[in-house]
Amino acid sequence: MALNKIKSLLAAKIHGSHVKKHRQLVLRTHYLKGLSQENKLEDEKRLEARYQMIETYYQEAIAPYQRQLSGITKLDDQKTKKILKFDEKAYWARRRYKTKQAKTLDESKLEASLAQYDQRKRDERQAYLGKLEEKYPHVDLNEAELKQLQSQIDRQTMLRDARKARALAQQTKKHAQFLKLKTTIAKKVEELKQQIKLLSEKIENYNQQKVKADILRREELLQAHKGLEANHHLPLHYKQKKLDVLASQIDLIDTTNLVLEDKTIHLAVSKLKMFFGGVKAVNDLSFQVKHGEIFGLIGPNGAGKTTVFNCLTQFYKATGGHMIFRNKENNVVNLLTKKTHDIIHEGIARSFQNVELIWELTVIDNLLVAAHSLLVTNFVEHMLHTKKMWREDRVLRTKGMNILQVLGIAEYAFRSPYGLPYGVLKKIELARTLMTNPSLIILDEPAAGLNDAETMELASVIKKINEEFHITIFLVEHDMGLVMSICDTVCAISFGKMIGIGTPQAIQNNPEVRTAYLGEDSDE
Amino acid sequence: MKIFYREHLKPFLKKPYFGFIMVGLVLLIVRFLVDVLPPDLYGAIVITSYYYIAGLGFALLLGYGGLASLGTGAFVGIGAFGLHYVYRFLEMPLLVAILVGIVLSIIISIAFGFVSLRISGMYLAIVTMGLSQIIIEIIKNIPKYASGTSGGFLSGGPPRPLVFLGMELSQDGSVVFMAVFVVLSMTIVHNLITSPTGRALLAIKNSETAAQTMGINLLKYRLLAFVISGVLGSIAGVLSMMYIRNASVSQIGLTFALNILAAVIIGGTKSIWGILMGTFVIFGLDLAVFQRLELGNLSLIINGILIILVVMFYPGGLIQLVGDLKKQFKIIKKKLREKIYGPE
Repeated sequence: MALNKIKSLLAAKIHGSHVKKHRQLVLRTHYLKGLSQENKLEDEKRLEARYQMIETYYQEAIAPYQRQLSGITKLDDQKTKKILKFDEKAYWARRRYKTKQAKTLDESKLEASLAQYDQRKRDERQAYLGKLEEKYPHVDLNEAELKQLQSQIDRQTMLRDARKARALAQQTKKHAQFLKLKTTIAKKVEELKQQIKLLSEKIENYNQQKVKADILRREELLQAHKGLEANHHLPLHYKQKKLDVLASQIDLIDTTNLVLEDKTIHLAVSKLKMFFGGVKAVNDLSFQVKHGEIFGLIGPNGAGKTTVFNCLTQFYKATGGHMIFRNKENNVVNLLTKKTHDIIHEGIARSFQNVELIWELTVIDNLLVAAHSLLVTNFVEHMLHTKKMWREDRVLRTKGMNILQVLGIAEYAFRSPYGLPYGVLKKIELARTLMTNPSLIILDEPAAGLNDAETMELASVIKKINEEFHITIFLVEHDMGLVMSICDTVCAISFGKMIGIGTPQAIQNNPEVRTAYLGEDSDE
Repeated sequence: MKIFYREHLKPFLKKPYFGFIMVGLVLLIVRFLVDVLPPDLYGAIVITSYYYIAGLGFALLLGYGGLASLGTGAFVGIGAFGLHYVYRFLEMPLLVAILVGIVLSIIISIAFGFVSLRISGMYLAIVTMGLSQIIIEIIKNIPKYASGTSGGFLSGGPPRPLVFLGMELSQDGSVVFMAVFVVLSMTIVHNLITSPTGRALLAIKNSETAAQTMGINLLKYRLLAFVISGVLGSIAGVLSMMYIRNASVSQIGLTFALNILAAVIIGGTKSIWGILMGTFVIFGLDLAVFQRLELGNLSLIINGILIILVVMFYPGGLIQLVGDLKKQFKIIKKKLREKIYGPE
């Protein structure tokens, strides 16, 4: 008996390590794929950028020679410089003169005086120009000088061609490196895929065995339950407690087996209870969310919708009941055993009712924070700023930009979210959830605070996410229009209890739901 | 030549590391100008440089982690008295003594981190203050090793000269150590705050719930912030001991923690260069400026007024002032021109 227990514990431990490894391998594959993409982009752009740079160097180098060839000698340049300097000096002197005169003279006299001044200055300038002409006479270049200039230009051209050739050689070298890297990455990815496949099989096997073992255990528990019920010697409250524990264990096995056997179920909530002291915020709530559907949870204010979310994401530890989830590794987990910051690794991402972004960071950096669960580097690498960290940073940045583009908010990427419209903030939150590669997104009132047009847009975005990324969506919403238009299944709760579940039409016609929302029809 | 400058030199000059290395170089130059510089200015620069390291660690806690800890003094004490004890009484080599100080501070900062998980804000400040007071009391009550309230190579007993790799380190020789450690700690802090770790810390500071949903382990990152700040604090303590050759318990109490807090806030909690300015204002301005103007008695008051002014008008710290001054300079130039030459 004890040996069996140890064996099963050991198997569970090994299974846990398999799941962990599977997760890391998947992360690495994603990283490597992204890296390969990045390398390809870099490889394509490198030569062009290099050529452009060489061209600018060339243009800058030959510019003075070309000026001289076109007839402007060095002396001419010096002369123009002197004239410009003189003109600037004259401008400031005139400005000063004008201000000075304006203090003592009235307008008509001022103009006359200014005209006089201008005349004087013009004469001065003429004289200065004459002087400059003497000092810096224009001399046409002779044949030899022209030849020299041409040869200089030729030299630069040669230099440019040499540089280009060198760049090309470098490019071919780097391209070869890139191809080599590409094949190694592809090989590695293939290897990782093999490993992942193996691990998936192992996980699947374990789950199948678990079903069998659980059926046996269920029988035992059922026996114990029956025996306890028949026992009349125990004190009542003690007996009730024991019975509850047994029933809960049986329920856990039932729900787990249900999810294990029915692969369409993504999340099964069974008899969820959340009590705050005497307040029963959620009481005996059971429902199932299918893979790839949009599931809506509705209810009047204070019905306990957000509490359900908080229980799912482990911000609250549920008083009773079970939440069984089929995670990204195709493994079935009991969410109650997970910590808050581990939920994201299982594949559940959530948004918040009131936007919770990091206001000190730009929008793209906000997405990078969300990518925290995808990191393959650790903090030592961050502290040393290793190359791997930068590569990963690039991969994640590209991913973030792609998501922003899909949602149509790429223009805000490098801005602080501070002061952006509410609709955009909601979309940034959506992008943030998408960044984490989730399999289930929990949206807490996505349409709160949005106007009709924005709500319509959001609905289409949610639909798009659901269809394109194959992500299950679970949302709480007050906006009935939104819920009824996009949801596949709707669950209505009131005071923590379920009052109806079904298609949107069925819910609309449900008399209980109507009562919950509109009150009793006692007046009629 | 031009192309070399553009392609290799300029990108390097633009990198922040260049600035950090420059700080180290300036410190080295200051060390060789010791006979030329006035002694109070020299002292101010050296004191600023080693407390700057403690300030950097604290900035990581306050500016990024949002954890207002008043326990910096304890770590400086651990560094200073640890070096004293291990080097002079256990007669270990210098590097071992420094390492022991760092390891000790890591252990104690982990304790600080565990405390911080449950509490935050003002309560955290109070608890960390209490913890640091406990450590200071412990140091006080082992007089044999710590020489009571003050320990050092000068007080009590035959002094053991500071020897590093067979060379005897003079007081000024330890400035070289400072240069190395300042550059190192600036680099590490800069690297951390521009990496996912820094972003994770900022996320925790802004919204713990959001951080947790994104998979950020609060405990891990808070411990990390505390450990790094503790290590940097103890390095500051070690360096202070190496330079002053003496340490006093009264110097590492609550006043010191508040001074560091003030330095970080005045400089700008999120800027590496700002903290350098803030540390100089708090620890160096008195020695370098006020004492020379014979305002030594008023230095505390002037510092207080400065703090009030900065907090009121520049909540982002002195570093914000620098940016504003650059903008203002252009406007002032334009205005001056108009005054001299008149309007257009």
